[in-house]
Amino acid sequence: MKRSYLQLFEDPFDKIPYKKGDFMDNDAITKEMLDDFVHVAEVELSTEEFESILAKMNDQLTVIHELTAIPLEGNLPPVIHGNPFPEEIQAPLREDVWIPFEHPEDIISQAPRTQDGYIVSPDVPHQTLE
Amino acid sequence: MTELTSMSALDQARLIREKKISAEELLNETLAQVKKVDGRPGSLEEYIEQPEDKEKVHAFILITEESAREKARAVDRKVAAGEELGPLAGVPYSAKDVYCTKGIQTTAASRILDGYHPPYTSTVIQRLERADAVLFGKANLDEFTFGGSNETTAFKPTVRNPWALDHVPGGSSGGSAAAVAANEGAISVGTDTGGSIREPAAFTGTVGLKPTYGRVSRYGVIPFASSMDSMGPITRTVADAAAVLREIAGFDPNDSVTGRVPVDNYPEELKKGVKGMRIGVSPDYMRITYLDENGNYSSTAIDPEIESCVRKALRIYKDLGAEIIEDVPMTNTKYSVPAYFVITRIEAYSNLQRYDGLKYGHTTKRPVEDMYDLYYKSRGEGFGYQAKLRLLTGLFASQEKFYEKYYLRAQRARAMLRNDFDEAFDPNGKYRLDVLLTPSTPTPAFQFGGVTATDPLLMQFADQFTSPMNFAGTPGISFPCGLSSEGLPIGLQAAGYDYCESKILRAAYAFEQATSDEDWRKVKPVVLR
Repeated sequence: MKRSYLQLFEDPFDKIPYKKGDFMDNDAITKEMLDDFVHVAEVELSTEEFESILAKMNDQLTVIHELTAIPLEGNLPPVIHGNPFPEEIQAPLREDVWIPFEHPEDIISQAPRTQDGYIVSPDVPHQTLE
Repeated sequence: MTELTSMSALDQARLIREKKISAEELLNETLAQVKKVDGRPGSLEEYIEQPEDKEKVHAFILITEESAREKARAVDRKVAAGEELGPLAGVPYSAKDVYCTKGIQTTAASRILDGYHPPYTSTVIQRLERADAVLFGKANLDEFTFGGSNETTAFKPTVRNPWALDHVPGGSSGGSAAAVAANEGAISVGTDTGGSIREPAAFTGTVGLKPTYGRVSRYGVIPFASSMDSMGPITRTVADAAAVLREIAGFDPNDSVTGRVPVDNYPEELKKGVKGMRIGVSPDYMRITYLDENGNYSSTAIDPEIESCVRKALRIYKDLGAEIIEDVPMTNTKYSVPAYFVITRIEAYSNLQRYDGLKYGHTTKRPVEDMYDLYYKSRGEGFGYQAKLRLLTGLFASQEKFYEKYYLRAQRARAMLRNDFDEAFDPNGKYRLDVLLTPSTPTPAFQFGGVTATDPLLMQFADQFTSPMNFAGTPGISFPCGLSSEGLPIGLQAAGYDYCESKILRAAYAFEQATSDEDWRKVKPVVLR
């Protein structure tokens, strides 16, 4: 029941009238790829969600692909923020001073499992870095 | 006497200051109005729709009666003692449930934050507290602000539009806009990453202001796309929006993108009118442009009723002494949809990685093998469908191999969109605009589910006229300008240049004053009839 709104919600990108062109095939997302993403993103999906999200992501690729129409040459550099943020309106960097939070217990109390002021986690498996 | 709850925030504050009413009395009236029109609040319990649910607004997730009463009484004590009062003293307001409130449940309408009580309060809420306003409720929204209709909330029932209960209120600040439209408080604070204040304001006949990026602090607001998230008010009058912005705007040491730029006295600036102002209109905001089946750009006209509203407003502005500049090119508007899509998904993916089932919010009750399994299961249970879709799409699009193909191009599209604004507003340029007037949305509010909408194509592009301002970082205000033949509100947007909120407020206010006697202003939302 918790996902009852699935029937209600129409993703606005569902119905964009682009043809699912063959120009996209080289980027198509396969089941194996999505299975990888799900584990990298650490988010479990039900079987129905997996099928639906796989289909939606492939549909949305056609929208994303529209970006390839944008020329990269020219002298307009890409920007991270829209409006400029010149130095004269920026705050100077703060002194690197440690200021303890007044009520750390308010932070710790939000964790589902705690002990002696620490958050308790399940085992963290040993991993060898490649 | 006019009902207290239908008054503007400034009128409410004046009555309290003049001791004609008490803050507690006003709070009681407001809570009574919520009781009358709102129905049951949004909840994570299994949702079975009851017939009465269809008759109510459901704007809220939580009513904070106890703390509100404490604050109202504190204001009343200040009034009695003759102490100095904040400009919004005693005015009840609500906040979209992405504003962290110390000790008060904050959910972002997501199960993953079930039970979260933040240990701190966001800057906007702190500043409204300093202005002596009274926070009485946390409004429902699309989960993590992901949507334009409120249908993605995990907290059911979904918010309904007070003007037509089978229509969406817009989103993502839909609860905020619906509450204000239904006289459940004169002010709500929302957030806008692609139109999430302006679209629901247009759909509910309210005023919604998205300030310049960096004008209002993001500190303590649960993020969507951090390079575009903007905080602002939803109100019923332009003067109220000006008064709220005056309180919440300004540099904040806790948000390093807030600019050290002086805050105007917006309520005073309003009165300057539009005489001599250069108000522009662009053909690129009178149609929706998209790629057709053959990969060519096509365009569709917006709803003719909305276009005629823009024309009517231009005539009014001309009569008031403004100079109208036609045919301002904003040709890169068409790139906003795909570029917005890529950038917001990538930023949303990054922002959603903090929810782990370990530090706060929902955690799985199933047995887990290790920490990663705890993340996997907790996040699987906690995130709704749309959050999962967005974070996985963001992960996909942020892969290194697609950096140039997608992300870099999206950033470049953003620069091109910004360039449109730079040229239109350049004081030495060809157009020298003070304000760009656009429709807020291509259509009025649509019905739930969307499938029955008369023109689904326009619905999909509901944010094509609002997301460019998030890209450009510039301000925009949506204000009501009439009703459609179906009786649904229509909103116009006055868009401006960096830190020029005063100018767009002046334009919105001048229109509001010039049309104050028009018949459509006497029509009330159905829940108030």
